[in-house]
Amino acid sequence: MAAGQAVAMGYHNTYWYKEGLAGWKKSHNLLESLNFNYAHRKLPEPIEPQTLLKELGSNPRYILVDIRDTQSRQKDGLIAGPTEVLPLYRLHTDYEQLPDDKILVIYDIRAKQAPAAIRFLLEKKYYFTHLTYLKGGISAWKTEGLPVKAF
Amino acid sequence: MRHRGFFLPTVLVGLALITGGNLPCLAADDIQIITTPELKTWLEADQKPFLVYTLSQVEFYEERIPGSVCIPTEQMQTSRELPPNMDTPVVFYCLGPG
Repeated sequence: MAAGQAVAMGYHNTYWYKEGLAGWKKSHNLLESLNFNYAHRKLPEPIEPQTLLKELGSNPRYILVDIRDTQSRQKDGLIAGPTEVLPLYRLHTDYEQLPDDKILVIYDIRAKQAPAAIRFLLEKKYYFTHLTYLKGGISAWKTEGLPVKAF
Repeated sequence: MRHRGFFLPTVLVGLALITGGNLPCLAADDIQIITTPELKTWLEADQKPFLVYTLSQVEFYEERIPGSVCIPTEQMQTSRELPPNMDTPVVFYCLGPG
């Protein structure tokens, strides 16, 4: 946790605003955005876990893009299949490692962060029809009893 | 940006008046929890805390609390953006519940 790291680094007045962006918005406080339209761009439809399982077994154009952090990968494991591991905090610098001729299936823990990744890639001219994200993230995948492998 | 001499106590007294005395614990070196009204009041003061968004630049680009800087948790140890003065109040946040 970031605040814990700051304490370990020697910061004496460390605060955790645990309500976060959700709490800030709920109280109708102002937010800043570098591009409001970008943040509200239409998203491709998410893919259901069962559909993804079927596609991964039969369609070589599907590539998983795991945007989680290492901790989550260790805790929940990985979905088996061709995968690009690209944590979201590195996406803005390393996105060009992602192929643009495949169907990229972005996944995270609960599909809370994948939409931002999709919008970013759309902004970088990846095709709308070549992008999707796993509905409910790996949590939904596991809830449906689908297989994961250890990290 | 120094806060310990005068400013922080002043802000906290102000917050106490607003919150009816329900202030975050102030034990040294602990992580203190701050609520939405407390943070809002503090950000409106002359001397603001250093506010850090701990997720990615991609999300930061879309939405953030005004005045924040983005330092992903994974890059906290190597970031040069944190204030050099270890006494500076630093507030961290991410998406929150929901």
